[in-house]
Formats: sequence, structure tokens, C-alpha cells
Amino acid sequence: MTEQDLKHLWQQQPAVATNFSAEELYRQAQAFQRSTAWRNRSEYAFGALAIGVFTFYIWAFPFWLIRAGCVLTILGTLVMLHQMQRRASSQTPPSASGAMSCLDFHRAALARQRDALRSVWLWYIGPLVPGIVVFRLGVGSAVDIPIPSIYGWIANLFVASVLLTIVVVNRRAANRLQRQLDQLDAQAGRI
Amino acid sequence: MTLFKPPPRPHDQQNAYYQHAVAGFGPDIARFVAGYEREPARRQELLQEVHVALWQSFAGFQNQCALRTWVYRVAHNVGVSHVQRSVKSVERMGIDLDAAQSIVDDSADPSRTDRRLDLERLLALVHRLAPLDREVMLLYLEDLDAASIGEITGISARNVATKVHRIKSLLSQQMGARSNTP
Repeated sequence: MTEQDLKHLWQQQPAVATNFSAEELYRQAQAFQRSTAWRNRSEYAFGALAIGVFTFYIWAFPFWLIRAGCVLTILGTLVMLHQMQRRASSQTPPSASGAMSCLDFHRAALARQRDALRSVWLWYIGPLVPGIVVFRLGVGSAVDIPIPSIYGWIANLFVASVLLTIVVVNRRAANRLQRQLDQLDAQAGRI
Repeated sequence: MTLFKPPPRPHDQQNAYYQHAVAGFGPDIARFVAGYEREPARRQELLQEVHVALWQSFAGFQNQCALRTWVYRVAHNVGVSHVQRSVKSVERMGIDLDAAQSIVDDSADPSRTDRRLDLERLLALVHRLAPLDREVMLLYLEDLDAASIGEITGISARNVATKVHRIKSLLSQQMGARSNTP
């Protein structure tokens, strides 16, 4: 078998040219955007739930430090949701990629994901920390809440470990993406 | 905060470019999709996704490059995005040409295979490759020259030449392909 035979084999494989009508394409584009919107909705639902819970706490707890913590947590959640939306909308969809070479498109997508994961502590965890800290301080200093201090420390440790785990897991994922970027650069002969 | 923004209504020029692209490169697109998805049902979904992306892309097409370059870029970029989100990270990275060459293929004797098996083996080989090598391989099989491959993939002409040389060597080892020139 010659190289030309192989190319011929590839080019002659059964591949039907599909042709969609403009209306059908428009409907499918709508469906794709709806499914993306549905994914976003679940993230916003989580944010709305957190905001709802902390709004209830403002009403339920009469202590000013707890209330301040709730307000800061709500503001932090809004900042986090805004950051999520900003980062999701900054990506180049494949439909806008005709002007980009495949290497640039692939590289940009990996770099964007890597940067988002690497900076999770800043835009995802960071906005929530002030609210969580003030809220926990408020709970700890509220004399009317009869909770032994050891439980408070266990709760603090638990919250801190959850936040730290999120940072570490995302950091590892970012490192994995960096390895993919390095592999891509090596393939492209850039390094 | 808008959760669902409907896509803009198509305009005539966009539809005309799409029809032109499908008439000229429809089968090419279908073959590229085969290079990115093995499973027939998912392949059909991917094909649909490529067509939608292509049609949407023509809203911004102002002859920045040749129509074929535009079509191939969009098709490959959708393909790579598909591979990225649908497989585990270990598989996603794929293997490079060196690693592919080291895989022993006991059925490399072409006399024992018919065309269908040859095509299956060729597809299996393509699917094992990392994204960039896969793109170059697919474009090579489409018989594009090094300059065109470089324009679509973004790799320098020198690197394309090196990759094509290694692809030929890989095909020779794995598929029993021999050079056209005596």
C-alpha cells in the first residue's frame, strides 16, 4: 500500500455530506445555548440558596457581628457569581474560532482554564472568606448561643479544611492543564 | 444577568457562505468528525455541532482567509473542544508521534486486511494521537500541502514538514504504507 493509497482510503471512506437548513441550524443553536444556560442556572441556584440562607440568618440572629458576617457573605457570593459569569463569557466559542489557528485556539482554551483554576483562591474562595470569618467570630462571641467552644473550633477547622481542599484540588487541576500546555508547545515545536 | 440569550437571526450572507462551504467541503467535514469521534451516535451529534458552529461562524466571516481554511479551522476547533470535554484527562492528552510509533501492531501485514479493516486501523491510529498531531495527520490524509497545514494549524512550515515526515514513517510502520516515490 502506498501513501497515495492510504490518502485515497481516507478520502473515499463513506462520509455523507450533511446539509442543514438555516431554520434547523437556528433551532439547534438555540438548543445549544439553552443547555449552556441550564448549566449556568445550577451555579446561580447554588448562589441563590446561599444568599437565601444568610438572609434568613440576618433576620433570625440578633447579634450584630453575625449579621455583619451574613452581609459580607452575601456580598462575597455576588462577587463570586459575577466572576463566574465573567470568566464563562470571556471564552472563545468554537463558532468564533475561524479566524484563529487551531494551535492558538487550543492553547488559549487551556491557558484560560488553567488561569481560572489557579486563581480560584482569589475569585472563588477570597470573596467568601471575610464573611465566613466575621460570621464565625460572631457565632463564637454570641453569649446567648450555648455551644461549647470545642465545637466552635471543630466547625472552624472543618470550614477551613473545605476551603483549603477546594484550593488544592483546583491547583492540581491547573498543574495538569499546564502539563497539557507544555505538551502542546512541545508538539508545536515552541519549546 | 441574562441566562439565555437567543442566537442572532441568520442573515442571507451567512446562509450563503454556509451553503457554499457545505457544497465544497461537506464530505471533508464528515471525515474530520470521524477523526474526532468513534462512536456513531456521538459522531452524528458532533457533526451537527460542527455544522451549527460553522453556520454561526459565518456571521463574522469577512474573507480574512480562504473559505477552506476557515471551514477546516472551525471543524478542528470544535473537534478538539469535543475531545477535551468528553474523555478523561489521561486519554485527552493522547500520545505523540514517537509513542504511537512504539506501539507494536501485529496485523500490519496489508495482505491480511481488506479496505474496511485498513480504514478501522487508520482511524484507531488517528484517535490515539494528541490533538495537534491528530490535526496534522487528518490534514495530511486530506492531501493538503505543508503551507496549507501550517495556515490551518498555526504550526510553522518547518515543523509541519518534520511532522509530515514522521507521520509518513508512522504510517509506514503501522499500516505498511510505502513512499510514492521509488
